[in-house]
Amino acid sequence: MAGEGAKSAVGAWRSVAVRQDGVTLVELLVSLTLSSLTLITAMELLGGGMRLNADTHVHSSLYDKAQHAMLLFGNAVKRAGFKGCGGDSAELVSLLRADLQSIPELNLYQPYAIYESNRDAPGWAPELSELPMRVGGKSINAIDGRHGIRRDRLQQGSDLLVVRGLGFDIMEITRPVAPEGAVHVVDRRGIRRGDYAAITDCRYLELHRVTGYGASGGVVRLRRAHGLGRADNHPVRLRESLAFSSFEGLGPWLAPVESEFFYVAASHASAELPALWRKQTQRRPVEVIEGISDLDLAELLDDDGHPLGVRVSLTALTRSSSRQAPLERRFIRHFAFKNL
Amino acid sequence: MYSASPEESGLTLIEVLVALLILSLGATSLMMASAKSSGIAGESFYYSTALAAGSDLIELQRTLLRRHPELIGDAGFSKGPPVLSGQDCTVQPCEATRLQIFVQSSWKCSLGYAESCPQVAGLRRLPRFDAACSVEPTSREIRLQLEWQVRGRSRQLALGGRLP
Repeated sequence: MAGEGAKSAVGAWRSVAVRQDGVTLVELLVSLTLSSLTLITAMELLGGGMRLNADTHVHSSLYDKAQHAMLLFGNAVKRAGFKGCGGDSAELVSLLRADLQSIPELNLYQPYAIYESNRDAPGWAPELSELPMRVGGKSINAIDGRHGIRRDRLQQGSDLLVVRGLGFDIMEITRPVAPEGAVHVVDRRGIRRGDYAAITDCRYLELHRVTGYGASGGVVRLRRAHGLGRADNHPVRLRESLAFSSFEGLGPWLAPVESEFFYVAASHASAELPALWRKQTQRRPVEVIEGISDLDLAELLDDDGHPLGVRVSLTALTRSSSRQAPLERRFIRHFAFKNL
Repeated sequence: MYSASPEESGLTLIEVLVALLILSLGATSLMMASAKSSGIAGESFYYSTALAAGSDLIELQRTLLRRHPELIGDAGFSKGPPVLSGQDCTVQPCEATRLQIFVQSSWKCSLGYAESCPQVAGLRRLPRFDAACSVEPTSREIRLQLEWQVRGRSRQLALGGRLP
């Protein structure tokens, strides 16, 4: 029974095989050749497309890095010298113990500074002697402590930019300012103990340090008692401060002092990889964009010594798996000062 | 158990060729779409570059002419390579007229005229942008036109502003 069944199955297979119209060898070879050609072309097109995509990705990553950096520079340059009144008429009155010109974070006399590198000198380290050094004491304020910029990690040949001004968060003072004591505002908008702020009525601008705060009845009371630190409030100057005891005209307002330092230094991730760093007033420096390898700054000055703007030239670099050497691209922007 | 239809047959050469043709057409369209999307990304990059550069110039013009209103008559410039003043106003302060020329040339250099601008040597800007600017003294309007070529096609961007 089983043998008959097997025989009939073989017979059926034979009969099918005989009737089937397959392809001839020539047809098969032609088909294979055409398929191979199509496949090769498709692979090449696909490879080309992938390379193009990879290139686009690399270039757009370079462009994005540069755009982000330029956005930071542009905002900083626009804010440089801002004193809350859209002009530069406010006369600066320091209520602090320190000589402002010796503290880059607070030196509102000079809205910006460019530390140019000497590209020919090996081992360049800018003379940041005016940056505050550790002066002892136990203050956690970076102004009284280290500035946190590691000069040994600065990128050789890359410039350093400092801009200073008041922040855009301007707070209206709700009652006359006592010669010594508190400033009352509705909302302190992130100002913390230890921060520096300015009171301005567009004629004068008093710089002081916030030593504490407390809230009552919807009003925030910012304390500005004198202290003992190098950049704390000066007791005598606080008592003598009468410029804002009478409300003349509009204001006065209170605004935080903001300074920004931009420089290129080794990245956290790798000492070989440069990055753009930013330090804001009292905060520790932070790495903002990895892969910025050079910063070249030039100010545009007229014959009166008035700065018109800054030319910012930076080099962005990125590594890609398809390339041996990192790809570098230079970007240039010109930023005009708005408040100088 | 095994039943094959007697009419069953393989593909003819014509059928294979048609199938391959359709496949090729599909693959080509896919590649073309991919290349086009990359091209669109590139175009948007050029537009944003032009927009950023244009905004920079308008802000520089506004700041310069606010301080030196007497320069309004010479604030415009035409297309073509930058006119170099011969004095580098980033090294030493310049008299207002020279500063104006320097600012315009420095800005134009950054658009891609690296061969004639030592200060931007090494800058690779593809494509090169060209620009013309006019300032109307009575209405105090600034008009800036940027132009560049992409794959043989001309692209333009017009920006405007008013002097303070």
